[in-house]
Amino acid sequence: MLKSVAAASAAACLLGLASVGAAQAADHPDFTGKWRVLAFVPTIKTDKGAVPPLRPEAKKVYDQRIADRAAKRDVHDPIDGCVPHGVPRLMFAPYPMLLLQANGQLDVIQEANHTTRLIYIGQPPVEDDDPKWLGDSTGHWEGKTLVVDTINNDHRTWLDKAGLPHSDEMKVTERLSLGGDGKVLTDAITIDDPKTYTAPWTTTVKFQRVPGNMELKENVCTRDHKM
Amino acid sequence: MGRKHQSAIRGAVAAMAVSLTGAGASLAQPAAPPNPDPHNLQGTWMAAPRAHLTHDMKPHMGRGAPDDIPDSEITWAVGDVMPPFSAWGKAKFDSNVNAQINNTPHADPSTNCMPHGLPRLMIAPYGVQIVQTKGLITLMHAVNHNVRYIHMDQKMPAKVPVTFNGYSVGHWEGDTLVVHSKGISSQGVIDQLGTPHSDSLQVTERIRKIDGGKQLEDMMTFDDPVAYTHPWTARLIDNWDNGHRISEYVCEENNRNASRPDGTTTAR
Repeated sequence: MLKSVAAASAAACLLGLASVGAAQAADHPDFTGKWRVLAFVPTIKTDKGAVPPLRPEAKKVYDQRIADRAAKRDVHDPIDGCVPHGVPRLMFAPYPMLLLQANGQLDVIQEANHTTRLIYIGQPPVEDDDPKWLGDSTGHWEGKTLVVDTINNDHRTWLDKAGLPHSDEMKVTERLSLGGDGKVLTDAITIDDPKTYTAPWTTTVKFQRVPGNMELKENVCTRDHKM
Repeated sequence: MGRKHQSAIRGAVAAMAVSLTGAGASLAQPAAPPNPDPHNLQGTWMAAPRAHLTHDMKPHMGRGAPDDIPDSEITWAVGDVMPPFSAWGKAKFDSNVNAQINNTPHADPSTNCMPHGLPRLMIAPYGVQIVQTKGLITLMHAVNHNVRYIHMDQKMPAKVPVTFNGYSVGHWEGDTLVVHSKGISSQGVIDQLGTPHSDSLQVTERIRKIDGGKQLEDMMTFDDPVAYTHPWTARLIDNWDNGHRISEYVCEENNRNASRPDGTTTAR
């Protein structure tokens, strides 16, 4: 913190406001910008194309949700009540999102119901705290990859639209990296939840940049979808 | 933060927030001293109670029990004078105040978990985290996960959509951030009391650090020829919040004050 303050102050004299963001270590990629999931996937699979390794009880829940949606019964998707999508579902909701990388954080603003997720880089995990709709996220750099761990995840969220369940013991690890000349963002998401899955599993999602002049809309769930 | 404590916050409703000032800060975070750079507003800030609201002014609202009024959300013009209402504005104001006195306050957007709208958003007694990136200053408020963007060094577009939080452009004049906003939905109000505005409202803010960066001063000028006879200015103060994190605040989870069919609410 002190170091970045000093850097920002010194640079501010020369460069003005632009320097505030530039206090980030130069060798780390900057994810700042507007992104949108390349292809919306309502039913996520593992990177091997398999249904995630659900334990039998969890599989019953999942299969019921799929059957309910197929039969057009009420599926009780939590986001229908305008609560946050949860992690990782927030990341690949089919709306643009704004990433802001500054001041020791990577902040995610999803257009969907103007949802904010704050990732604290280089900070210790928030152990033994309440579950939250979006958990508690901390990140660290491994080379050019930002590794984000999310704990304290509220068990009521679904991992995808189909309804993949999880427990509040789920730990999500995301590996965020840039490719394609900085035009493609990759989020390799690992779900570690022994209560729900027989083994950790990974699914990878890619994002493309949204043109600079397109702005996030003020999306208001409780207005647009009656609570 | 204790489990009980945080559960209380998560279930809280915006309109009942006054007593929660200062809550939502995780004690585990390292302290962060105020940043002396006047152009660096980054970090977490907490709206201060309205210290200069005097008891002398409260009777002007025609209300019998002045101590019952949530000071921190009442906006007065600088000098503790009543805003210069037009006839339309005064009628709206009186109607809103009377509804509160009669315990049938009108629901405003935040009551139904919608964005607070500008300027009320800036007054709400919750933390706000400011993030500065190239060409953009983003305000992430804890309350109802409101987000506000200040587009730097660009002209106000000829046409802006009408939204709750409006469209804001900003630039630096020396050490003061000057922000101009329009396109603000008249569904919102200026403060919790119901000080009104129309959708003609334009807001100019002059924001600067004071007291060595321990406070942010926001001089907000409201120009709304429908609700007011001339522009007027209120002074808001945010306190540096020492590196605390803003909490998750999900109004949608358990909104006990959603509006009734007649448009009133139990929120006060």
